[in-house]
Amino acid sequence: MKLNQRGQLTIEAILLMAAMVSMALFLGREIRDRKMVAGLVEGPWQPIQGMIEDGVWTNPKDSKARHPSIKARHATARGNTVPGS
Amino acid sequence: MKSVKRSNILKSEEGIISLDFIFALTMAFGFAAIFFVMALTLATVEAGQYITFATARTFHGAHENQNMQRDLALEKFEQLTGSGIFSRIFNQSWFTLKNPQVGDFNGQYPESDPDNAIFVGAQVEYRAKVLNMRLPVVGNTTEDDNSPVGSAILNAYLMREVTSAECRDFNSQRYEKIRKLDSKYDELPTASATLVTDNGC
Repeated sequence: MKLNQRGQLTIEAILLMAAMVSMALFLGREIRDRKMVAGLVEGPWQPIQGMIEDGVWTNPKDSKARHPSIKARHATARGNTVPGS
Repeated sequence: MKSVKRSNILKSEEGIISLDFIFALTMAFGFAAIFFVMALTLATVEAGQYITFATARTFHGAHENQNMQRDLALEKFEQLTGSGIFSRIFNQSWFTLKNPQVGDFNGQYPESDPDNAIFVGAQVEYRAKVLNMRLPVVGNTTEDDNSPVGSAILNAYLMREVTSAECRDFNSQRYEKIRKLDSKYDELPTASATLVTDNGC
């Protein structure tokens, strides 16, 4: 049988494919283990929840104290003056 | 059918990128699903806030007594969530809007000034279960099933008008205090007399 190099490409293709499969599996596992997608959703939800509940971009635990209605207003029953005037 | 020579198959490198493509497509699908669901969630929050506002607005209107104000508000909530497009949105597994509460919620907020004690209105529990997804390759969008992601309390504070019962009670008390201002008012009838307010209650 005459020697040739036609099989070299096949071997390299298999090696490349194995490397890519390994890389894909590694990346997928890292993303799952580090809970990166959960962080992508849970992280932003905290300030969104604060905005939904109390109108401020912050954690809902802190947003109650910063609700806009807590601020002193001019139009009150006591006739308060405008703060700083 | 056109036959493909064995040597041509071996020389072809077109399949090399297929795996990358599948992986990238899966990732892109996952992120697209997250953004789509987040956009859908924010849209339903807006709809839920309208329902909460409508509930608080119904609670706000004067009535015979506070219980009747509350009953009307809850009836409004049931009416909005139980029919039409809102029924289809909030009565399935993706989004839920439940447990409407109406009344005084000042205890949930730090007291800064009595004039600012205006947290009287409606609260509704909102939940977007659709944010809890299991995506291929990249995993879950929440750390566990009990995650607060997608949950929020929708608020609408419009205060509450005085009820007829409260108005009559207030006028009775005022009448009694006027009677006690001076002994010459002792001859006036007591509060058990029928109270007629000239401007209604």
